[in-house]
Amino acid sequence: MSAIITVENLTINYGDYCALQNISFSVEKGDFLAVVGQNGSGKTTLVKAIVRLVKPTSGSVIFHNSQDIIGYLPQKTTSLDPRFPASVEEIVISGIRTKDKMLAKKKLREVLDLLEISDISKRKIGQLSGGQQQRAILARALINSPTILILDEPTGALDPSSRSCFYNTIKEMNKNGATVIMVSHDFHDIEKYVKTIALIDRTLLSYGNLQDFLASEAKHYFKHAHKHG
Amino acid sequence: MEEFLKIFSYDFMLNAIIAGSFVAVSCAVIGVFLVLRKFSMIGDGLAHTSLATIALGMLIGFSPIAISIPLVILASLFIMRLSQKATIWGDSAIGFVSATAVAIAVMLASLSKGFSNDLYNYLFGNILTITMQELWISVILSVIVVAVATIYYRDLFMLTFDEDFARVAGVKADFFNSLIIILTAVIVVLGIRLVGTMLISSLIIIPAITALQVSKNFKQTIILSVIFAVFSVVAGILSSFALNIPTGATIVLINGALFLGSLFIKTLINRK
Repeated sequence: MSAIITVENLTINYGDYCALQNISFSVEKGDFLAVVGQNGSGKTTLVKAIVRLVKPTSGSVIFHNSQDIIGYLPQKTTSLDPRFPASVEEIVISGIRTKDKMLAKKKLREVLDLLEISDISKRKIGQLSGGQQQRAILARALINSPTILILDEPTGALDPSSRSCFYNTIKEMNKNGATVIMVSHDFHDIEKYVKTIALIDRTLLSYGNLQDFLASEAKHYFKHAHKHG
Repeated sequence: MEEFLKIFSYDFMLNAIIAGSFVAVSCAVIGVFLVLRKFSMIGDGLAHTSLATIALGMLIGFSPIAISIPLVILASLFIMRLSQKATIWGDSAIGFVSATAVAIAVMLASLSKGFSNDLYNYLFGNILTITMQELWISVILSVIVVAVATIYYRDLFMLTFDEDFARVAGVKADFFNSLIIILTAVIVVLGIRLVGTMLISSLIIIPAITALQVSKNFKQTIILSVIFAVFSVVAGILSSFALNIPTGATIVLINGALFLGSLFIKTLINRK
């Protein structure tokens, strides 16, 4: 296994407020990493720094292979206005990188089928349920067959069956070699699907594989923090 | 009928209809992006700003439109920077620039003591006096707006729907944000000749919100917005001439009626 992303001494300040302090870790190729921590611990800031939406005050995020394709799923609240006049198809295809129209249409059909949303592809995004909306946004992230998938609280709006369908898709992609980095609150899903856990509270409290995490005190910290977060 | 058709034999009417239609296309296309990004009131703010720049042009004896274009572009970039960097919301930034600009316009008008009446003409516009030069500028600007919207459709759509995702996908968000705002500034200045500073923002906002009531997707929203805008301008010019009523106000009222009509149709459809 080799490192695909390295986060090095990452510090991010918003004015006087320190959102992240001196965080360092490496993500291995093919890993399924969950970033966990209580509300306000800096999880979303960390993910935004990784996808270069937030500039580090100091430190850096290094992608070791420039050929990697990133699929990004932002937090739901930032993207969806129910009045937005876009169809599922328009939203999904907006994420495509190729300029080849035939290939774009083929990839669109594939990803719509994969996420079982072909039948609602002409409908406006605002008319869909939370689960359908999330699958449409995920389809947009998956349309380029990404090698790195970065998901910010992807299952917040989903019911249990949509959640399971969602994770099965992600797990399958991970099995096929994609590296996944996911911010999540849901400990049951984390236990079922991820390989590595990073626990943060503005600094990195623990980083290691799931088994070690479950055996350590850090697990109790996360559960307690989540309950009171 | 013969009387009505005679309207088209007047050069100034044809100029008004052509220039008005092209300005309407520009307003309608840009309007969709501004409305969906909740930045639609920038048209209002920039129109008020242009009142100050027109007053300045009159005071120093320079072409009001020529001086307005660069100054209103600067104001638009200032509004954008203020709302991005100075931790105030976009609407507050617009409000600040707009109110300050109107105050400057009033000051300049009182200093000159001579052009208050000319300034009044710019408040409500007069499309029937549009020059050939203004007609050509309207056509060129409209072609630029449509070309930008067509060539960069995917980038603009992504940016409008989800700016974070667009940035991660490599869209040059800052460039496109500036481009939209600069095009808006130029459209506002040209639109002032059509409906005046008081009403130009309606030409940006109303066709877009009318289209939003009945459209099924994004492309359709832009196309319908253009159709509503051009229809209201052409119908407004013709009916105002035939009935001898103010052109700018007629255009805006037709726009308003189209919006209310679309809202009514949408309500009926939703009830079924």
